[in-house]
Amino acid sequence: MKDLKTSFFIAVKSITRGNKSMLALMIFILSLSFLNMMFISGVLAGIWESELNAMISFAVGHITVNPQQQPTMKQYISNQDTIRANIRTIPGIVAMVRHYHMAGSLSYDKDKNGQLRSISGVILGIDPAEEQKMFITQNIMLSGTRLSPEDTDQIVLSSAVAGGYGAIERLGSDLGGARVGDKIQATYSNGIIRTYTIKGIYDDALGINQTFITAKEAESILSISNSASQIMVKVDLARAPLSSYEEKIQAMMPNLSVKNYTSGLGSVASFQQALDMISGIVGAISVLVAAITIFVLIYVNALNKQRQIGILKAIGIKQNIIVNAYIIQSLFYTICGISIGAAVVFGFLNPLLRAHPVPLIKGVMNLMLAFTSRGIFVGILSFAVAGFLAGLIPSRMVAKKDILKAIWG
Amino acid sequence: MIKVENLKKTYPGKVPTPALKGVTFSVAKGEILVITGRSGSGKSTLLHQLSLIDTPTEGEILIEDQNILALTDSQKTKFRLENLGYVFQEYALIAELDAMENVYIPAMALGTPPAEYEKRAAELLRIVGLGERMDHYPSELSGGEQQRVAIARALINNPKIIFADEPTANLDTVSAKVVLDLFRKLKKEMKQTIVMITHEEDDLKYADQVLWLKDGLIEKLGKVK
Repeated sequence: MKDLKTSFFIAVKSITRGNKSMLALMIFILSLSFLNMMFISGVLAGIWESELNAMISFAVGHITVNPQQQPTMKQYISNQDTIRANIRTIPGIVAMVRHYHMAGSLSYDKDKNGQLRSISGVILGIDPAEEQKMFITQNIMLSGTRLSPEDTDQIVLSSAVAGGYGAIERLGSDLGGARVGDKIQATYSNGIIRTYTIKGIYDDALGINQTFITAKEAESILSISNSASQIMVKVDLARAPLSSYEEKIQAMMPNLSVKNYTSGLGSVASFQQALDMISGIVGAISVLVAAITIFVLIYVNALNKQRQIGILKAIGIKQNIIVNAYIIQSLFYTICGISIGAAVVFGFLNPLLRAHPVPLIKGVMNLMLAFTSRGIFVGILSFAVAGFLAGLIPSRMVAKKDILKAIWG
Repeated sequence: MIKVENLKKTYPGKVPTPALKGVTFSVAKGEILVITGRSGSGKSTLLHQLSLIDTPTEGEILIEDQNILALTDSQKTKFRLENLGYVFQEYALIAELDAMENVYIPAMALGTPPAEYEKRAAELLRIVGLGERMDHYPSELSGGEQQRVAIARALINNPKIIFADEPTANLDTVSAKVVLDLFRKLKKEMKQTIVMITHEEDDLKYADQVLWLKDGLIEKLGKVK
């Protein structure tokens, strides 16, 4: 204890009465390193979170209820109104929709010369009013209007399907420039062919590529009623964790397949892995830069004071006391760097980006910073460990020198 | 107090350099031993061995009958802190500490209670004539004043022996006399044992015993009349 007290005394005096420019430089560099690490990892995590939020808001919701898989696989969920009424009784359910999924192709005779341009895809049968509460897809119409519940001869396309809204034109992936009011022909997998008037085209910035008709029209094509290919649920995550909702819904409908949005991410999950990897590399580089900075500055400082270190040893001050004094100094610089860096990130940059969002994809994704308590903890811990080692190694290198060599230089 | 038997020190290198070639002498408690001799005679080497700053190649050093060369490095550090005081040739103070702090840092390391070491440091600074300059930093003190602070620091843990390596070498005549008078006062009032190096003929009058070294050997050892 007395050794630590002496170390602390030497460290405090060195900090308070040492070279102020050196102190400021060290703290400044460490602040920048920590800021860099937290900002980059925050941005990368923010991109992923924005992407997830966009997926949830545009296409999948939080939880999907799918038709029975076992013991026999069913194509549709029956009595969807009863099921949805039951789900609605769970506290925290924010919105819910059902979809009919129909495979088919869309054809468009742009030049009215009998030359049809066709694409294949999934056509969704939706309840327009509910859809509007659940997903923002149809709130960002580029042209025309949304579907009405009673529409049976109208269709809403994505800009990517319609083609010509700034997207690169690729044969077979869009209709070549279909516009609101144009007629397109839909051929469903059950052989039914319908002609629709394009009622609206929405901005498909996220690339979800969905085509919508009303559930009423879908039921007439499929010759079914009160069913669904999928029920999607949006929940209040502030009220309860996702797994809790998932379990409750599953418990209500044990024969249906209940999944949360993460199970439907597919290839998007590899995007997260790539972001995590970049974040890890950037973090490691930042910690390394910080460690080298502290190492060099502590080493130079210790070398400059090696005569003083020799004198301290000569008058009977233990080597450990001297080394610990440098470690305390190093940790002080590190803590200051972390505090200033954290203050800038959490007190300035994060609120600034929330108050003035920078759009990554206009109307869909904004640049935001996202942090997890684990990520912050790991960042601080790795910086502290780097600070400890960068204080320990150079000070030991100098302090273990022979007393006379240290005094004579 | 100190018994030295056949002490030898050879510095290693391509050509090993013998600095002490077998030195034997003793110092009584409360005595001032002055080591003198020409440059390269081995004065500093001898002092470094006696004060445990360096390790001899051969020989024996007994302090109050304890063979201090048998101690481990950490035991030597502890022994230095508890039993020895050291005054360097140059003003060896810690720049970031004021006079008071420079004096009491060995006592703090020893675990002395703060109230006690602060009181003793203040008392020692008064003894060395710096009672009014306790809060001054080394850069604000003259060479002689810094050396007196170093002497106060050497005394803080009530050492059995003070070692002083040419403590007046960088001082003007007046300051040098103040420091040496202080040593004499310490010997007289506190029965302090002091081993000091000097190359000044005038300083020999402060010694009870003078050890003349020449080429690593004792040329003469005797009392000063």
